[in-house]
Parts: sequence; structure tokens; C-alpha cells
Amino acid sequence: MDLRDELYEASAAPPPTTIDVDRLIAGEHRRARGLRLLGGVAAVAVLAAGAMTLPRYFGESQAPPPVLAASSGVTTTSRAPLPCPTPVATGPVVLGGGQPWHPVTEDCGAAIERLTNAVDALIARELPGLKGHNAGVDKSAPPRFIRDPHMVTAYNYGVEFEPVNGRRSFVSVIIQAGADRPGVAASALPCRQGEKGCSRQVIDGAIVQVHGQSMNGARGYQINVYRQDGTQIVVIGRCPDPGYDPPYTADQLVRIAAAPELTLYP
Amino acid sequence: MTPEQHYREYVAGNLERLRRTAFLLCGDWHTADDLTSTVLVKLLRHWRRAARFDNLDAYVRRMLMRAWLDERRRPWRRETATAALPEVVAVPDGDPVRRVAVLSLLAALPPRRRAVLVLRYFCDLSVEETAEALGCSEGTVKSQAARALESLRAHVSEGDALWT
Repeated sequence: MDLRDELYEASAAPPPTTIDVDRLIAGEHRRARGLRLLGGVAAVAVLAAGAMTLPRYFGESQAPPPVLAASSGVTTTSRAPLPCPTPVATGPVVLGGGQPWHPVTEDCGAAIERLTNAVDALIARELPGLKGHNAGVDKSAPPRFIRDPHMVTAYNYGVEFEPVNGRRSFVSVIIQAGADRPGVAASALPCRQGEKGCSRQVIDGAIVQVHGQSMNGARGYQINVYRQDGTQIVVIGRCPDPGYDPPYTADQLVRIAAAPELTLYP
Repeated sequence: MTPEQHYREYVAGNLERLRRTAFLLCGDWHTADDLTSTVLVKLLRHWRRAARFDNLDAYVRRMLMRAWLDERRRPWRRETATAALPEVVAVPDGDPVRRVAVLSLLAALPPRRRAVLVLRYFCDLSVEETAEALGCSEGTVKSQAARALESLRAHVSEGDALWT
């Protein structure tokens, strides 16, 4: 007898098995049902959590774009209802990331309406000859509040202008309640040593910073205004076509950004 | 034939062979039944895919080997080392005693060598098939088999049937 026979002999005559195939199959069916139930519960929980969480962050960004009509400069009449930050839909507006240095008490919808009318009027006054629209394409955003966990909550309004000599341009306005006192906020963004096109001036008590911008060949300006009442304004104007200047100057944008009507504390 | 009926038919035709293979690996019928159950449950979960395999037996054998080697790695299954090997008792003729002796010799081998012997001499697999079942090279199978046989010979007296 060799090893092969020994192995056969050693495992011969096994005792009755305790394995019940019916029980194995029934157990597997139970397990599969449990997993399906668990998956369903998990899916419902995820959907419920998503339904509760997403509108909080993105609800105000889903508002329909405004209906357009002609006016002097920017076409913005007959707007759809203006969106507000979800948590304070009917209460006072609280703009800015974190705690504003100076609380805003104006009603949300009223603030958006007032600021939008002011920006439209300023663009029509300071940038005559440019026709713009705010259809929400590219950089032109309809007036709204942007709310995102990674950025400040702010009034945001963008206007894209019709091409001049085939070159496009836009202006974007952001107004927010500053978390820092004006002096501190202004010192937080100094002109870098030797920075070309950066200057600082004081207009009616507001600190105005002007930055010349060039991003991937697109030229433009960024104007930061720190108003004494705590309002921070950022106006960005740029020509997205590389190598060309926008059809307005930095001074024109400064006059828009430093206008006293752009305040959160009227 | 539904997949479940097909599965039942396969299990009915292969259960005893699987149990005996598992028994030679672990030396205990209860553990052998546990191992076989584990393999059959896993096979049932993947039956729709597994039923299409050309060599389903090899697939199941590989599952059994992995189940066995995994089981051996569990802390409560680890063998305890002893300073000296148990004394080998002279085996008189008689099947039950001889069977215990063979199982004792197998139990003294490391798990992989035991698996190589069972696959080569009980399942009648070639070196190549054994290597595939264990997930190792053919050279490893040959060396493990040679060392396993050497160990067995060291514990049987010359002239014993197992010596050949």
C-alpha cells in the first residue's frame, strides 16, 4: 500500500455529514434579502440627507435666470423673484463668511433689488456705449447670493458686454459684509513690493485698492474697496481675449466700486 | 434547469469528495464539515458566474485550499510548538490504527506541505494543477512535496509500506 492508498483509506467511511444544502440555500437567501433591505435603507438615508443638505448650499444658485429687456446700459428689467440665502429667506440679510463685523439688518430681497438697480445705473453712467446682459453665461451672473461652504456668502452680479471690435469683456461685482474692521481688512491685502499696476487711494473715507490683472493673457483690473461702514466691494473687469485690454479703464471701475450707493448699510 | 437546481446537483455529486479532501487537510471531520460549508456558501453566492467555468472542480478546490489556509491563520487554530515530536508508536496491522497513524503523520506537516500531498496523492492532480490550486509555482510544489515525503519517511520505519 502506498501513500495514495493510505490517504484514501484514512478518509474512507466518513461519518454522516452535518451539511444541509437546503439550510445553506435558505441562509443565503436570508442574507441576500437582508443586504437588499440594508442597501435600500442606506439609499433612502443618503437621499434624505442629500435633500436636506444640498439646498442649504446650492439652493440659491438654482434660481432661474432673469428675463431680459432693453434699458440704457444693462438689460435687466422684468426679473424673476430674486433668490436669497436659504436660512434667512425672510429675515435680515447676513452676508460674508463668518460673523460680519457690523450686522446687516436690511431685508434680503430688498437688498438685492436696491443693489442691482444701483449697479445697473452705475454701469450705464460710467461705461456709456457698452451694452451688457446678465443672462448668467460665462462670467455674467444674474444678481444673487452665492452660498458655498468654501467661500464667503456675498451679493454677486455679473454683466457680460457685447463685443467691441470683436473683443469680449465683462464686469463682475461682489458686495459683502466684512468680517474685519476696514483698517485691518485693507492691510490684509497690501500691494506687493514692486507690483505693477497696484495702487491705493482714499475716496470719501473708503480705502480703494487697484490691481492690474493679467491671467493667462487676459488683461483687466480688480478694484477692492473697504468702506468705513464695513461693506467690502470687489469689482473685477477683464477682457477674456488674450492680449487685449478691456474697453474701459481702471478709473472707470474705481468710480463704480467707490460709489456710495453700493453699501449694505443704507 | 434553474441555477439552484444545477447547484444542488453539483453539490450532491461532489460533497463527499470535498469532505474527504477537507478531512485530510485538517484531520477532523467537524472542521472538515465547517470548511466544506464555507466553500459551498461562497460557491452559492457566485454560482451564476462559477457555473460557466470550464473547470469548476479546480475552482472549488482552490476555494477549499484558501479556506483551509485562511483557517490555519486564525489565532485559535495555530499549532503549538513542542520541544520533541510525539513518540511514534509501532503500528500493528488493522485499519483504524493505521488510519490514525497516517493522519498523525499528516498533522505533523506544515499546512502547505500537507495541502501539496493531499492534492497530489489524493486528488490526483498534476504538479501544474497543484501549483494553480495553491497559487504558487511548480517548483515550489515539487520542493514542498519532496520535503513532505522526506518528513513522512523520517517517521516511518524502513520496510513500512509508506517508505516506498
